[in-house]
Amino acid sequence: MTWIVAVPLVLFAEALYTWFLLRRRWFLLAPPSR
Amino acid sequence: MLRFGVAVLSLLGLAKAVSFCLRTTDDQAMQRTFGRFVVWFALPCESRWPRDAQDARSARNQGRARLLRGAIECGLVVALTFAYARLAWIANHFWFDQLWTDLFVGLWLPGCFDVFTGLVMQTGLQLPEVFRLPVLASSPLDFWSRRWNLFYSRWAYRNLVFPLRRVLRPLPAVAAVFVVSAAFHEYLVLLTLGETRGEMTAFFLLQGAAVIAEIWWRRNRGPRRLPRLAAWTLQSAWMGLTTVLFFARMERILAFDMAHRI
Repeated sequence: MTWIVAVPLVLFAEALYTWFLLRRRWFLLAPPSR
Repeated sequence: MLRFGVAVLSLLGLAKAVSFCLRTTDDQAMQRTFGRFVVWFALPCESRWPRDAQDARSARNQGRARLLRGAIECGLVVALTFAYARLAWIANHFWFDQLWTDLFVGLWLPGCFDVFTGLVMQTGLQLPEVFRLPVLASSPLDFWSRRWNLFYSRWAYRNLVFPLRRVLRPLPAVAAVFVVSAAFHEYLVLLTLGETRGEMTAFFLLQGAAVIAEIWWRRNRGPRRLPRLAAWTLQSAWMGLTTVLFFARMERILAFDMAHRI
C-alpha cells in the first residue's frame, strides 16, 4: 500500500465520518440553547 | 510509511491549534459546540457552518461542481497512470519522467481534495477550495497564491503575514511564509525517512525567491504580461526544473513509480 492509494482512502473515510456526524444530527452538533 | 501519515496529521493539528489559539479561524460558528469543534479540527481544510437553509443549498450545489471537477481530474490521473505503464519513453527519459510526475501530482492531490470537499459539502458545510487547477498556473505567484494548497496560503496569511507585517516590510513577511513551509516539509522528510539533505529547503527558498521577484517585478515594471500560453509553458518548465529537488525525497515516500507495476 502506498500513499498514492492511501491518501484518497483516508480522505474518503473522513468524508463519510463527517457526513455521518452531520446527517445524524448528532446531539452535540445542535446549536446551544439561549 | 505510517510515519508520513503521523507527520502530516501532526502538521495539520499544529496549524489548527495555532489558528484556534490566535482566533484566526474562518468561521467562529465552527467552534460554538464541541461536536462542531471535532468536525472542524478533523477536516484537513477550513470549514464554515451554513448560516441558513439557502446557504446550505448553495454549498451543496458548489460541492456538486467540485465533485465533477474532481472526477475529471481523477480520470486524467488514471489515464496518466496507464500512459506511464504503456509508453516506455516517459520513464526512460529523465525530463519526461519529471514532467509526468509534476502533472500526476498536480492532478492527483487536487482531484482527491475536490472529490473530498465536494462530498463533505453535500452535508451543507461550506469548504473553501484548497486546490484550483494548479496545472494551469501561469506564474510562481499565480501557483502559490491562487492555485496550490490555498488552506496553507490562507493560514499563512492570517497567522504569519498579518502579525509579521507589524514588524516587517511586505516582502520579508512573504519570505517568512516560504521559510515556514520549508521547515514543515523538512519535518515531513525527517520524520518519515530519518534523514534529510535539505532539498526541501532549497526548493521552497527557490520558489519563495521567484514569488518575491515576481511581486517586485509587477510593482516596479507595471502589469505587462506574457501571452498566456507562453507564461504557462515557462511556469511548467520552471516547475519541472525545480521539483527535481522536491521529489528527490518525496518520490520515495509517495511511491509514484507504482505505475510500473500495472
